[in-house]
Parts: sequence; structure tokens; C-alpha cells
Amino acid sequence: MLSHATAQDWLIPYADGMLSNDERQRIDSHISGCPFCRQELSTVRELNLALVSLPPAPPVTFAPFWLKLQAALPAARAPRREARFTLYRRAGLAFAAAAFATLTAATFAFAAESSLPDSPVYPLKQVEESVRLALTPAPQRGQV
Amino acid sequence: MGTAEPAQSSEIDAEERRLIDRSAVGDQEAFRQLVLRYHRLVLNVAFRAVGELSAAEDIAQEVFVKVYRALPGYRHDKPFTHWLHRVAANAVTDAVRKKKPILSLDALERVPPAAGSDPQDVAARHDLQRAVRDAIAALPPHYRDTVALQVFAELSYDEIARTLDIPLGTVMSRLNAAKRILREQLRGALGDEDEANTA
Repeated sequence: MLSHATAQDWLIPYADGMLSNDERQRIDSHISGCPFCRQELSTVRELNLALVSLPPAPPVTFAPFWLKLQAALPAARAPRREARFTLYRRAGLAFAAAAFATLTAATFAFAAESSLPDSPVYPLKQVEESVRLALTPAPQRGQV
Repeated sequence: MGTAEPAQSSEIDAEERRLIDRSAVGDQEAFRQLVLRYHRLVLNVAFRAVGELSAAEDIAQEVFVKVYRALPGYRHDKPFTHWLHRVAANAVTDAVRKKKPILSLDALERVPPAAGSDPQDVAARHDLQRAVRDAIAALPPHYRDTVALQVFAELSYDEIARTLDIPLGTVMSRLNAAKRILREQLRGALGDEDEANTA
């Protein structure tokens, strides 16, 4: 049996169609025997009718609406910012590539024939020697 | 028909996404097309809230300027309409809170009455609409925002929950509490309407 207080709480979601079937049946059963809740439900339904009675806007022409809006929009800055960022990124990548190439060439240059195995540049010396050996014609290899 | 609709829907979504992304980097023609799609929706929300066309247009303009400024931060993580509804609801609730009294009845954009309708009925209906707007404007902020989405934007409970990113139960409890307040605020106006109809 639904209490009067609970029925009062449920009247608005009932009128909005938000109760489950079981809840609706319980409200229906309560309302059938409670004139006060019946009157309150009637008031809630009148309220809902008043709320949905607010009319939509009359037709408006889009062109003047857009022209006025366009004048109020901030100046377009994003495309310039994006182009500048791309330019910086490209310059940065080019600089990084040049620095890496320079560092590699310098490291090879310092990887002298006298580098010992415990030297950090010794592996580069080995790579350099392998490349040199591969590029040297066979008869001359003994002279390297 | 059933298989064509999802394809059409995904095409519309892809086109809308393109317009949003282009608008976000300053393409005003793309933004114009986006505004063309949604200006009626926003105008209707605003007009239901304030009842006056020029004020509604001002609110709609403000909504779209805010949207344009915020578009670079939009991540497509929720439907654009949900975000647009939220911006519109905030703008109209701010506007009705600050609304200056209408000094002239001529400022009201009235829908022409149907032929044969009683002028007293028409006047009573306009009075009730004004009372409804004023009562909604006087609600506490959380209730006012939720009611605005149901009444001005005509969203369902589910749509309100998704727009505000809150549980459905919270929407139900807010609308329940808000409408209890509105029911008391408007009891006299609703009763007068009833008496006018039975006179």
C-alpha cells in the first residue's frame, strides 16, 4: 500500500511518464481513493501544459543573423598560428638532423686507428674499418 | 530504408565533424554552415525563455560567439548538440536572471491569435507564459538549468542526463523539486486560467 507522502513525491514523475509500470499501478490505486492527490495530479498536469505552451521563435532570415554574428566573431588567428608552428617544427627538425650528422662525422673522425677497445668510440672505429674494407678492392686489402 | 538510415547518419556525422574541425581553425565559411544547421534550435531555446525576438536573437548570437571561441577545445567526446544545448541553457538562464522588465507590450513578439479566438483567452495565455518564465528565472541555479533544458530545449530526461553528464536519478530529483516549487509559485496563475476557461 503506497503511503500518502510517497504518492505525493511520485506525482510529478508520474505525470512526466517516468515511473515504472509497477509504480504507476501503485499510484493509480492510491489516486482512485485519494481526492487530494487526484486534485494535486490535476494541478501538476496543468503545470506541464503551461510549461510546454511556451512557443518557439517565429521565422527569421538567416543572412542578417549571420552577418551580425560574423561581425562579432574574433579575428581568425588560428591558421597563422598553425603555419608558424609548422615552420618552427621544420626548422627544429632540420637543425636536429644537421647536429646529428655533424656529431656522427666528428665521432668518426676521432675514432682514430689508435683507439683502444676500452675507448667509447672503438665500436665506431670497427664500423668504419668494416665499411672501408668492404669498399676496398680485394687485391689492395692487405695494404689497408 | 533501415540500412540507409545508419549510412546517412554517419555521413551527416562525418560532415558535421568536418565543419567543427574546420571552424576550430578559423574557417568562417565552415562555421557559417554550422550556424545554419543549429541557429533555429538555439533561437527556439532563447525565445521560449525570454518571449521577445530581438532579445532571443541577442542571446543566440552570444551562444554562437561562445561556441566559436571554445571550439578549439572541443574533442568530439560527446555529441555537439549536447554541448550546444548546455551553452544555450546557460546563456538563457543568465539572461532571464538579469532580464530587465519589459516596459512595453509592443516589445513582445506575439504569435497572431487563431481566427475566432477570444482575446481574453489570448491575453490570459500570454500572462501565464510570462508568469512561467518569471517563476523559472527565480529557481535555484541547479534546478533552473535542468528545467531550462526540459522546458526551453524540450529535451527528455535521458537527454538532459547526457547533456549535463549527471545520473538520470539526479535529473528526476531536480525536476521533481523544481516543479514542486513551480507548482506553488504558479498555483494562482493556473487556477485563474482554469476559472477563465470555465467562465
